[in-house]
Parts: sequence; C-alpha cells; structure tokens
Amino acid sequence: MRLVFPEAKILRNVFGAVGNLVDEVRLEVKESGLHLRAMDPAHVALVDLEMKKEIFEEYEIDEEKALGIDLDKFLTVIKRAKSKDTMIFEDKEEYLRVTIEGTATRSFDLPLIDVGEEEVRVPELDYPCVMEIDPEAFEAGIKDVKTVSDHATLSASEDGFSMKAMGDLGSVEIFIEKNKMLTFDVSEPAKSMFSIEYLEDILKASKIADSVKIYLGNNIPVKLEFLAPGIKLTYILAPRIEEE
Amino acid sequence: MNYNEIVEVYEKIEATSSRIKMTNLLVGLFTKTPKELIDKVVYLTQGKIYPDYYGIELGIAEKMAIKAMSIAYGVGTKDIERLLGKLGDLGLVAQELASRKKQMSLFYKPLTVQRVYEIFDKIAKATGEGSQDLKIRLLSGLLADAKPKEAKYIIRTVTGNMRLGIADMTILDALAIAFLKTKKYRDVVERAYNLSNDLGDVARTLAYEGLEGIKKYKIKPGKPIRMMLAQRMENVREILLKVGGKAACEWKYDGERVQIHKINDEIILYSRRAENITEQYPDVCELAKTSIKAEEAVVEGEIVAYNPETLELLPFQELMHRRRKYGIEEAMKKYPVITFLFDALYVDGEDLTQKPFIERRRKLEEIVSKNDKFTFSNMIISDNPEEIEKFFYEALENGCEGLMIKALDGVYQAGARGWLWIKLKKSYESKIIEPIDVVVVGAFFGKGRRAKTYGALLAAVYNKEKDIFETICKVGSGFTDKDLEKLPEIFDKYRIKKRHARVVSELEADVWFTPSVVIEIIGDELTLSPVHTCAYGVIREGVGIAVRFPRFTGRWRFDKAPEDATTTKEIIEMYKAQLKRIEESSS
Repeated sequence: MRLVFPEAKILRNVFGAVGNLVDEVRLEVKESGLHLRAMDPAHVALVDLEMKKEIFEEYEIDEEKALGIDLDKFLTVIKRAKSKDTMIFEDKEEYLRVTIEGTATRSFDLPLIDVGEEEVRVPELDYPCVMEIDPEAFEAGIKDVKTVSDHATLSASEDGFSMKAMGDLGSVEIFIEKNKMLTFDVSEPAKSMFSIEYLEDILKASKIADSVKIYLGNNIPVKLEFLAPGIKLTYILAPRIEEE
Repeated sequence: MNYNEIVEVYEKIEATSSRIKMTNLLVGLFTKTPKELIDKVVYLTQGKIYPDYYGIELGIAEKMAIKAMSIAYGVGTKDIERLLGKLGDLGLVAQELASRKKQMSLFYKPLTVQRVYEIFDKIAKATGEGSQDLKIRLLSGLLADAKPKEAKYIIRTVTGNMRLGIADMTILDALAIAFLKTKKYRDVVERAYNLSNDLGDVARTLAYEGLEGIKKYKIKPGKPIRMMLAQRMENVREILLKVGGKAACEWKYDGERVQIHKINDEIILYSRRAENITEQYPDVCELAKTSIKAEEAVVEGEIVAYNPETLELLPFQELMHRRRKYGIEEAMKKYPVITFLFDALYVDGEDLTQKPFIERRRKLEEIVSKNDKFTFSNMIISDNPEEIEKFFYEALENGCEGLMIKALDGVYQAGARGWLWIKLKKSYESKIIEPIDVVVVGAFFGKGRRAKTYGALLAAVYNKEKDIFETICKVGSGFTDKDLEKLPEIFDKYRIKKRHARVVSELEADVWFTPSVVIEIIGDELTLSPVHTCAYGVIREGVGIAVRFPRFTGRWRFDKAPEDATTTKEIIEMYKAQLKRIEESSS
C-alpha cells in the first residue's frame, strides 16, 4: 500500500475532527478510497468519514484492508508537517510508515493497534427537515447558546432554522432565515435537543467544509454532513430527552 | 439471559437479612440460569469473575469508575464526587445518574449476562500502557447500555464492593437445592468445594453431571484444596486423649503454610487463604520441581525463613520481605527459605485425603527426595507426655511456635478445623525488655561466608550461688562482617581442649573457651528450654531458661569480668516479672 496526499493541512483538519470524538479507529483502505466509521465510547455520537481516492496524488493498494489506528499518535505525527507538505502512507506489517515530504523527507513509524471488527450500523431515519447552511454560522450560534446552557434545542419551521436555550443565566435564540441558507427543504416543523459539548466537538469539522447539511427530526438523532471536494464527513448525534 | 434478571434477584437479596430467604432467592436464580452460564452467574453473585485463586481481579479504582461514569452520563467528575459524598456508595451514584440520564444513546442493546461477563473479563485482563483508558472506555460502554439498577451492580462489582452479604456456604446450600432438589447431599457438594475452592466449577459439575458427577468430584491439581486447620489446646495429656493416645508430633514452624501443586513441570504455590503465591518463591518452585518425584502431586508444608550462616530459623515476619512484586530475585538471595513438608493430599491420580495421616506422611516421604532446603517437618511419634513436652520446648527454642499433634489415623478434613489436628503453643510468654550481658563459653563452626570464623557463640550467665556458668543461648545474629572477622582473633587465646570445669552445658560445642569475654545481647523473649542449663529445674522440672531469637547488640563488654555478667537469679526474676498469659488467637 502506498498513498500520497498532497496537502497535510487537510488531513490535519479531517482527522482532527474525527479525533474529537473517538480515540481509536479502524481505517478501511478500499478500492474507492478511505473509509472509517466509529462511535464514541458512550454511544452518543457516530462519525463516518469517506475520502475518495481521486483526491490522492497516488493511491496504490494490493488488496483492501483495515488499519487499526491510535488517532492521538497519528495526529501528533500529522501535526509535525507544514500545511503544504506532501504526506505518504505505507503499511509495513506491524506499523504504518508516515513520510512527510517538504524541504526534508521525514519518516515516522506508527505501531498499528488491534481494534476488533465490530460493525457500526448507521441508523436509517426519515428526516422531515433538511437544510444546508454555512458551518461558521452554525458554530457561532452554538457558542452563543453555550453562554446560558449546556444543551441547545435545534428546530426548523417553514421560516427557517433556530437554536435556542434557556438557563439560569437567561435565554438565547439564534435564528437563520431560510433565504440565508444554501438549500432548505422542510416538509413539517421539527425540533430536538442536543448536548452542546458534543455539538462543539462536532462543529470543529467546520474548518474542512464550505457547507454543512443538517438532517433534523423530532426527538431523533440529528445528522450533520460536512462536504468538501472528495471528502464527506458525517456525524450522527443522539438527542437529549426534553426536560419539562 | 439478560443481566437484568440477576440484578432483580440481587435487589431482593439486598433487601433481606434472612439466610433462608437469601437461599431461596438464589435457588430461583440458579434454577433458571442456562447451564452454560451457571459458573459465570455464581462468580458474578460472589462479586467476582473468577475464583480468588486465579489472582485476577477487576480492581477498578474509585477514580476510574467516576471517570467512566462521567463519560457515560455526560456529568462532570466533580458533580459525581459531590453526589458520592451525599449517597456514600458509588453504586447508588451510578443508579441515580442512570435514572437521571437525559442523553440518549444511538444504540441500545439490552445487557446480557454473557456480555457483562465478557466486558468484566476484558477489564480485568487489560494490562500495560493505555490499559487504564481501555478499562474506562469498556466500563463506560457498559454503563451506556445499563438500566439504573444494572448500573448500580456493575459499578459495585468492578469496584469490588458487592455488599450482598452472601456467604459461600449459602451459595452451596442453594446449589444443592437447585440441582439435587434436596439438602440431603449438601455435604457432598461442600466436599467438592473444599477440594477446589471454586464454586463455579462445583456449580458447573452439578448442572451438567448432577449427583453422580458431584459424588465423583476429584481433586484437580491446580485448584487449591481448602486447608485443614487445627484446634488449640494447652495440656499435652488432654491432647493425647483427644487424638487417641499415640500421636504424630511435629514442630509447628513459624512460617507460611503452603500447598504445593505439581502438574508435570509446572509448580503452583497456594497460601493458607488459597492465594496464588507462586511468584514469591521461585526457589521453592525450583526445588519442588526437582525434588518431587511424582508427575502430579499436591503436598503441604511450611516455608520458613532462615539464616544460612547460622542455620537458625527466623520468625515469620522475615518472610514479609518476599511479599513483593518486584525485586524477587534479590529478596530470594537476601532472605532464603527452607520448606518443611508434612502432608501429601494427592499423588498421580490418587486422592489421599481419606487416608490416615501416617500413611499420607509415608507416601510424602516416598515421593520427595529431600535436601537441606526442601525437607520434612521434624516429627516424633509418641504416647509419652514427658517426651512430647521436651520436644515442644526444643521446638520453641529452635524458633518454632510449638507443636502440631496429629491423630495417626486422621483423614485430611479439607476446609475444617477439627480435633484430628491439635496445636500446642506456649500459653505464656516472657518478653525481654532489656539487653543482658552474657559470657562466651564456646563456639560453633560457621558455614558459607562464615567458613573461616565461628557461626555462633555459646553464651552463658553467671550462677553466683554455685559459682558456675550456665548456658542460655546460641547467638549468631547481630554480628557485622567486621565482628565476624575478629572472632577467632578475640577468642583463640581462651581456647581450651574441653569444656571448662565451671561451665555447665548440655550442648556439645565445637570449641570451648575459658569463660572470659562478656558481650551484650538482646532477644525476643525468655523461654523454657530442655537444652540450656540456666535455672535448670527452677521454673519447671527438666527444663531451663533460654533466650529466644538472641542478637548481639554490637557492644563488647571487655570492661566486665565474667562474674559481672547477668546472673541466673536475675534471669529468673526477669522471666517471672514479664510472664504474661497469651491471649487466644485464631491463627
């Protein structure tokens, strides 16, 4: 296996976003590209990453395989690269060789770990509301909500999308009109409540994407899709039960 | 089987203090447990995942459990600690947090007994770098799927705090009723437990093979047999009556009781409490491997620390240096041991526990080729109280606790404290509180590092009335290397061909000296002795007084004449002044 990726910065951001949620992953190296799917230890959130082989400079594999990776260590190595450095990945039985090519050529050997084979299924859900917005606006909204509470109610109506919270310190509402969104498709209103802590971790993926697609329903997990050329990073987050 | 089903039973057991109700609840649980899970359910009910002798413990520290709960419930660790302060039990905290939990999870799989057990197993076996994090993750994954009451028992189990108050005997009762429908065969079931220390294995045998299987239950080398214990009495004549007039009397060594299991080339050592102590005694293992001539055997003995230069046996406390995880090789050299064997319970497929003691002992001597460090307990067979008493004092003086007196035809009562074995310990002790000055009247040649000098000195006190010197102990401890080097130089000028006329001694020293040099020693206590002549016949007929565990304090009293040494009269006074009755102890 030999994979050559032209821009270290993108990898840093993509795997950084995954690493906010999980520590160890099973990275599948497939004919079509890289894929990983993992759940956080508390089974509250799931992350799914696809990177098409077309965005690699070179993508040579002998056979499809899965690599067990300790993300912390993996990121430490990736962070050693400058933004524009080229990165090369080769598997060597017990470890993964990561080479950074910039002014100098630097090689790191990362031990592979055993991560088991438990399959994580993505729940099949019907969503009444699907909207695509600027991820930075979403992220800013969540930070606003955090000033009063540790959870936010996300809701969508025919007028637009809102983030709301009430706490001892007061209440906050952020509203995004439908005409300020990239796409907007609401068949009926919906709302669910989510942990801010998880949302914050997930929204760190904003860096890689120009837009985030939100799939929202009533008291069901929310699906957030971050899209960039050749890359799809999907999160599914379980809701909190509404307090009354 | 869902974990919830056993949790429901735990809840009811926790709510009752009646042993009968507890037993009935357990019968209900064991009856509905599928065969293939019965051992796991028994272990879980005991709050563990393996029998103790495996030495594998869940051992999650409170801090780690809190961390796992924090992840699973999305609550800060500070808040959890606060709640713990209020509720006082981490299990209840988990229950409270689980019931308050507002964060849903993506997948909910009901917890099965199988899954809970497997995760516990992974937690227990995780070792090395990053194992802490792995344990926390595994635990939080379990908690994420646990209902409030399940969470309570999961946390209590992993932190080693089950609190159900179920005795092993209650579980045995319940197993007998659940699988044999009657308590009639309770003793057969208990025997299986006594032979294995493994309730799970007993349960599995009952579930699969029923009464016939449990009746045929055999010793399995590798599984510790619950040790037979002894009663305690003070009077030799009464003891002899109890054990049938004539008895085997062995020195009761002040060491660690050990059960040695040999399975071909593998050796496992178990302590009295059936803990695996193999790692502490690599030297004993090596000797057992080469000295036990049977393929498979279970034998018992006592491991005792000793001083290789003076050959004195040392008190039990010295063995504590072996209770360590690291640096065993070094401790092995610094604190060598001798193993004194006294029983054989199993040899090459044959269960000897129902055979008479004397036959077992014979078998033991047959299969072990003894040497200096792996030998048999010092034993006499006697029906003569005077002879036994003399043997008793000899044992005391040699650093032993007393005697074990055993019925010659007694079977091995695994797990029982019966009257077939009776220990005779001293009922009084007389602590030494101040050093005494003794005269050196003779010496014994040394071994090992002391080959060129003396191994021990024969010490005496002064009997002013008779103007003689009466021996009180052999002292070999407390000398520095420098002291040892100087011994021949100091004493050779006093060397004489035979015992000095003013010295009274029962012991035959290697060399004799003119009583001249006085040294200061300290000991643990003054004890009665058949060997030493100090105050002979004063306290009791046929015995004198000796110093137990004597040590040189480092002070040469060249300023004192031999007649200035501590006197016999002073020793008698010291003995009487400090004499105290020993409180009954359970050991």
